[in-house]
Amino acid sequence: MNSCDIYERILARFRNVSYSNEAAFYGPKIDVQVWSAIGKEFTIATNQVDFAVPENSMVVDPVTDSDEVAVRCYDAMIGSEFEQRHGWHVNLMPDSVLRELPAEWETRATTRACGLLTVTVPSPADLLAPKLRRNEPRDRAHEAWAYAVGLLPSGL
Amino acid sequence: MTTTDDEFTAIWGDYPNYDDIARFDYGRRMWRRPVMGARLLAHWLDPRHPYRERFSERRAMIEGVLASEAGLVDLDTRLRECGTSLRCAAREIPPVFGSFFAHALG
Repeated sequence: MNSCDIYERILARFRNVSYSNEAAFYGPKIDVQVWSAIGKEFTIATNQVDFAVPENSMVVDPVTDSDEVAVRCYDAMIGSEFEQRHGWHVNLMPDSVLRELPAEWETRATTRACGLLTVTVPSPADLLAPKLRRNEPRDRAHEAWAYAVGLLPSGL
Repeated sequence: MTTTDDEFTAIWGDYPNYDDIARFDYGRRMWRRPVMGARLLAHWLDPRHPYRERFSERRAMIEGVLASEAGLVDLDTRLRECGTSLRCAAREIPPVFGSFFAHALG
């Protein structure tokens, strides 16, 4: 599953909804940002491919300053009916997790429109940076996977 | 109310546990919403919740933290005066298990 397939799968659940907040993530993840109908930018989710979960399962780690979004996230946590139905669950993250990102990550992020939403995705290298600092075996495995699937250019 | 990097490190340590911080951040926000606050309380007191007993023992402290509108530094200072800390208090906020949270109020 490539990054675009992941976005399509996640964003299919969020069409026609407005959210608000900053982007956040922890570990090698794909950040999902959206724009409301009036053009305000929000970050609603990140998603992380975790080798410890089945291939068709995902964890999404959103950061939001919208209580309405947070309420929805509480109903999509691990073990929820939402997870059983969609194969992924939500793990809310605080905005302080942004401090783990490399400086000026926004300048290296890419943006994609998806229906009513606009998605901003940090670069894979920026997403991987916190994991490489942690440097656990699973982090090195994630790095190797990122190179293997072409998310990181060789020689980085 | 924002905190400086030094304040953040003083409160959460050199290796912050973002899951703990998330339960504190979102727990406070959800606690202020009557329906969500009631759902959280019912969930944590549910016999199926593995931390029900521990939460019951520390319920007053945890509810005080969740209901507090103080800034992080002030809240941490007050908790330290009581022999604990915000870092420890956040750890005591129980997690939410989706399998029986959605129906916590029946």
